[in-house]
Amino acid sequence: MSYLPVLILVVIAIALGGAIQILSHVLGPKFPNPMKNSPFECGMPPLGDARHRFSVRFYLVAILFLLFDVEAVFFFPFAVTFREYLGINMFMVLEMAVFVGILLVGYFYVLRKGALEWD
Amino acid sequence: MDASTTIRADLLTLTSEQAMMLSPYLWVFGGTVLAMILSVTRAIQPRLPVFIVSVLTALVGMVVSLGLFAADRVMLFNNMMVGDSYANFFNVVFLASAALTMLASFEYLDQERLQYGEYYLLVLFAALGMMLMASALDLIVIFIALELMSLSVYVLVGFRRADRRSNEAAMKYFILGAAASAILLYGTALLYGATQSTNIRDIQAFVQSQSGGVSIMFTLGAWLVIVGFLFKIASVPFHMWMPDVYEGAPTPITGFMTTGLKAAAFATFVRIFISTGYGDGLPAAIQSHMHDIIVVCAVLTMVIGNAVALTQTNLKRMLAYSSIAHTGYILVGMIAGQGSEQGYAPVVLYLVAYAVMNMGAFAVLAILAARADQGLNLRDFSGLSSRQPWLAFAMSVFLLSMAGIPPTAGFAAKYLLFYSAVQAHEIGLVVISVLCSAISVYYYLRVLVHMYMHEPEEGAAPLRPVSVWAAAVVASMVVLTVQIGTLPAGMLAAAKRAVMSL
Amino acid sequence: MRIEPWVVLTFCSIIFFIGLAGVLIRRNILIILMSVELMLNAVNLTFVTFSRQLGHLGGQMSVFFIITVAAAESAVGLGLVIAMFRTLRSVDTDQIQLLRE
Repeated sequence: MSYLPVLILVVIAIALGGAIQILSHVLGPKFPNPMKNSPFECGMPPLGDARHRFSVRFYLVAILFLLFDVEAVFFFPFAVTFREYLGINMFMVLEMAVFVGILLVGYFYVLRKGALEWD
Repeated sequence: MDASTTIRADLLTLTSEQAMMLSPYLWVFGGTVLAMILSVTRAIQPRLPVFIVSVLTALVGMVVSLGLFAADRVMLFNNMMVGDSYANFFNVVFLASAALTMLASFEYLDQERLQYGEYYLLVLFAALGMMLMASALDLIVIFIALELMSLSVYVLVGFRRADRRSNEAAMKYFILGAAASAILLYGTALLYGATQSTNIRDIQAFVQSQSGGVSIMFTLGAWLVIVGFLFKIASVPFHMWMPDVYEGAPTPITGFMTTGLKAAAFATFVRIFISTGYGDGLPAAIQSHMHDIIVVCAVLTMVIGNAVALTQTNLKRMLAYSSIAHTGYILVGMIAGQGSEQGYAPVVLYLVAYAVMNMGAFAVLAILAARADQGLNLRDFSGLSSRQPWLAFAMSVFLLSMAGIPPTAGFAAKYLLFYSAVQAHEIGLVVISVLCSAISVYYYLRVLVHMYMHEPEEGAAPLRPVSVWAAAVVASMVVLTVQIGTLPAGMLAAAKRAVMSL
Repeated sequence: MRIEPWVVLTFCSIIFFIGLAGVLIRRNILIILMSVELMLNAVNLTFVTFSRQLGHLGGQMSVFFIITVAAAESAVGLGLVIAMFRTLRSVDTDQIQLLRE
């Protein structure tokens, strides 16, 4: 019974997603052309041999995503408990600020190094 | 599972003693971040500012650690780390080795066209990992620090990106190193299952409470942790990676690995070893079990290291096998530690002496290395005494020190180490060590013979000019080698104090 | 149905040693990297199992850190693979043969 809110959320999500799809299909203007009708996959030709080479830049972005994404794992335990600790002092928030600061330095480094520029 | 919801208010503050003890770590970290930002600041094109900031970071951090050496022990972060004399002693060693590596590298990187700021950042990050490793009391913290150090060094080994040997060395090191870390971690997991903790103090208390022997899970976990460490210190039978990595890595990084990495792995190993396998109050069965394992490893390491070094003609490779042999001597000291009056102090002293002479030797090699680290074969050293008399002299001092000939650091350290083994009634081990040491004189002296008694090779490439930084490193290491060799008492007292604080 | 801890632990050790065997036997570096990840994930599973068995949260906390370190490790590893591929034109460990006795 305690999972009822989750069920409601699932139903709402499906209904909302479906409604948007149907409404835009019914109401939206349509100007088809061959390019638009082809399946889209990150700007790459989606059909053909799966083993052809692709640019190493995809890989770089994927690795950077992986690194910054995994760091987010540390926010979850913090988010669950930090309220209880706020009553004592701000130490835990300070610690998290240091952690985020380190991440930001890393991000700044990646940005200035040009790793996120596509050209 | 009932999650404990008690709030530990004591973890939410940092006392002034704790903040003080953390200051070297924070300083080094802050300096590294500053250097990192500088390295991507477009206004600064030449890499000199990054170099200067990095070297200053390491040197000032070293002075701060030196100032904290005499301070009382402070527990940090819920007993996950400890700030004691032992940790600060090794912090000085790591930061000194990082600073000297960077000084010896500057000219080398210019020559190799590898002058990137990242080089210095990675050296500093590796040094930070070593510092955390030597002061960690929790196996998970040790693992994270170990990875911080190792990941930086994997990249540094492969830093000559266009060179196939450098790439291969990095790849080999990475695969074997990652597997060894995973083995260490699996051991940690099993120890956690057996003792409910990953803290080595808690594990020690657990072992002391087990009068009737420990469970099979504990034994297995301890074995796996030991295997992980034997790999990191490159003891036989886990030494295969070392010669290849030492040969392929950029020469100053090889120097960094023989000094910093080795000292870090040993410092941590000794800390764990004393508390969980070989200290006071532990059951005799565990102690004798550990004793036998380490004895076998020590003997094999000394014999194989020295025997294979005899046939090497590449100097980097020869020093790699000699490094394996020295690992064997240090293991002898670890066995002897419990039964002698000096305790583990000779081990610490040996690590320092070994770091000093190797740092010097590899600084010389970095100066002499021709483009792309070629020209480090024995015949390239022929007649060095007439081409570069001072470098030849310095190299002789370092090699004599490694061979253990007075009045050098190597002699004093070896003497104290073997003496403590005699006191601990390990006569058989001492005999083997001394014999191995005698064999080693042959391959060290062979280099000297080439330098002083052979004519220079026909058409040998001209030597590159010696930079001020590298010359300063070599000169200071010569002085330190002779100083520890003639007056070892001061360093021994410091080592003793460090070990007493464990 | 309750799964006994020893079943899970045995399962973990099997995964771990499959990973170790992969590192030692396989010749493709990418597969070796996957095997290393397999070893680390077997350790994660071991930690979680013990954490559950002992009713002690330390093991689950360790897993967070191991996951992060594993991500960093794979990033460095793949970077090294690319650097090696550029000079060697291969990801086969049999081609690593310059540094030998």
